[in-house]
Amino acid sequence: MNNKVIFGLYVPTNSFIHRLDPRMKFIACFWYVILVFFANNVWTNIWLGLILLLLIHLSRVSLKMYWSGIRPLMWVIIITALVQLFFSTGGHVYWQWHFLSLTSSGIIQSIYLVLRFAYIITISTILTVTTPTLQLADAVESLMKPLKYLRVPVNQIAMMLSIALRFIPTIMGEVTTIMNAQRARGMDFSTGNLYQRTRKLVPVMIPLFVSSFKRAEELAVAMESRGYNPNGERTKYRLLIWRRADSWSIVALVLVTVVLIALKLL
Amino acid sequence: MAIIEIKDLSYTYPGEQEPILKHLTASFPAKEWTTIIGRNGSGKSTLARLIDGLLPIGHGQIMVAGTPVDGEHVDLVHQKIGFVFQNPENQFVGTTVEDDVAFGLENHRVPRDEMRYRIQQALNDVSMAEYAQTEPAMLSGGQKQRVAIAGILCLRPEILIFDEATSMLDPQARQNILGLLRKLKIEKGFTIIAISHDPVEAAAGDNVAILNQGQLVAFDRKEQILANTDLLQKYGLAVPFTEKLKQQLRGQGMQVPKEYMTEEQMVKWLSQQ
Repeated sequence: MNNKVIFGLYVPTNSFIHRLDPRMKFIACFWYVILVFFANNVWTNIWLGLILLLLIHLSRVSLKMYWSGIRPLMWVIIITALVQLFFSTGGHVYWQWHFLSLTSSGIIQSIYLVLRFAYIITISTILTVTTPTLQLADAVESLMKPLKYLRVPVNQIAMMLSIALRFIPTIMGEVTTIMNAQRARGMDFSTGNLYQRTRKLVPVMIPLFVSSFKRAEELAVAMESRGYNPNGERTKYRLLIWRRADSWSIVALVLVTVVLIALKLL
Repeated sequence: MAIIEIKDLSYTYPGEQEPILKHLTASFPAKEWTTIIGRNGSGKSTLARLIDGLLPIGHGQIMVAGTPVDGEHVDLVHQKIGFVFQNPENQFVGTTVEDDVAFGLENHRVPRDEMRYRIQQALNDVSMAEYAQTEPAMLSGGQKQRVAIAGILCLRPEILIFDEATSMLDPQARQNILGLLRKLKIEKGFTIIAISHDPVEAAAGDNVAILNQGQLVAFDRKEQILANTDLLQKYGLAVPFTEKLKQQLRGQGMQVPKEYMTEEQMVKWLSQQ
């Protein structure tokens, strides 16, 4: 259970995409999401879908993983699509009842909407299955660097992020221990309605908070004894290396964008 | 030659009435292993933290290898002293073993090329080199303490302070860590200060200091102190197993040597009788 959390959805298949620089993957993912919002006709949507299929193929991760990314959000997608379907106007009207109507443009719009959702979820799944969480954190830190000029404490934020990641399994283990301790005292976490079950978590959260504060204090002293100075300049051990493949990927990204614009103007 | 000099040190925690350390004066010899033992609340951990400048000194003065411990020199003091804490979990900063060892080096702005070499060396010293990429969740308590030791070794300190660093480990892991410290002390000439409430652990070192109610009540070679059962009992400390055995043998009318013996020495002596 602990490992699942720390690795996120990461699937180590060591594919071409896995070996790319996380910064590049991060930018590319972000850019793709922007492109998704520009796609407003059949051809642009097909084009983005093809790109996605190519990336899925390159990642050498099974389709099941991608499906498991979409599944939890299925209901959100369906409900939003239904709203879009019955509330939009324009085009040929097939059916009407009070304020609800089924129109040709509504059908098309809701199909695009479903695709949009699916594309965005899948591209972020590609990012998380091919990039370890730690590298993602490094990428975020590296990409935030320019914010230093706006006096954003980038180093401290990065340190916080990395410590948070490191302590997730520890805290998860602690939750299990506290819950077992409460069970041993007769607590039953598995019955009752949502409200009752939530209330039962209070005697778990309070000891958890107390021990987390204690941990934080000890960790802070340990960090200080090893010379940590939050405002000081530090060198960095883990390096992100920008390779030629990353530069080519950026070129590919530009090409994808150019083709998309061309298809849009078609 | 004393490497740590403490003069008239008193300390009271904020919000407390009673001082935890009262006019404590002591000096710790260089390149020797001194164990500070004492009951809970005797001020052992506070003393260790004050020496490393992790708490502001209330009253008195501490000199560490010629440097006064004060706000101005605290960075230098942190560099001279490597501190290993009790809980292996709460001093593991990095997301992997090598990241954790690198943490201190990054703080001291060591260039990356040198870092790799120093990390490798430190992990070799504590026999953890094969775990370089491992995450802390996969390590045992003893392994985490080894990583913590590697993390301070790579900073090349002169003094190592262990604040009950083995108290959360199982007996086997504890023996391993104590063995590792002995090796490091001999090979690299570290001064070691270990805080413990367990006199058996004190047997691993050279000197023993007893702290009681914020005062230093005894400081001598371990052979003297550990064999002095009256002294240990007076301050509520456990008597080592070998001493208990000697007492019983004496009760049976046997002639036993007065000086402290480790378990191995005891076995050897007994088999010669």
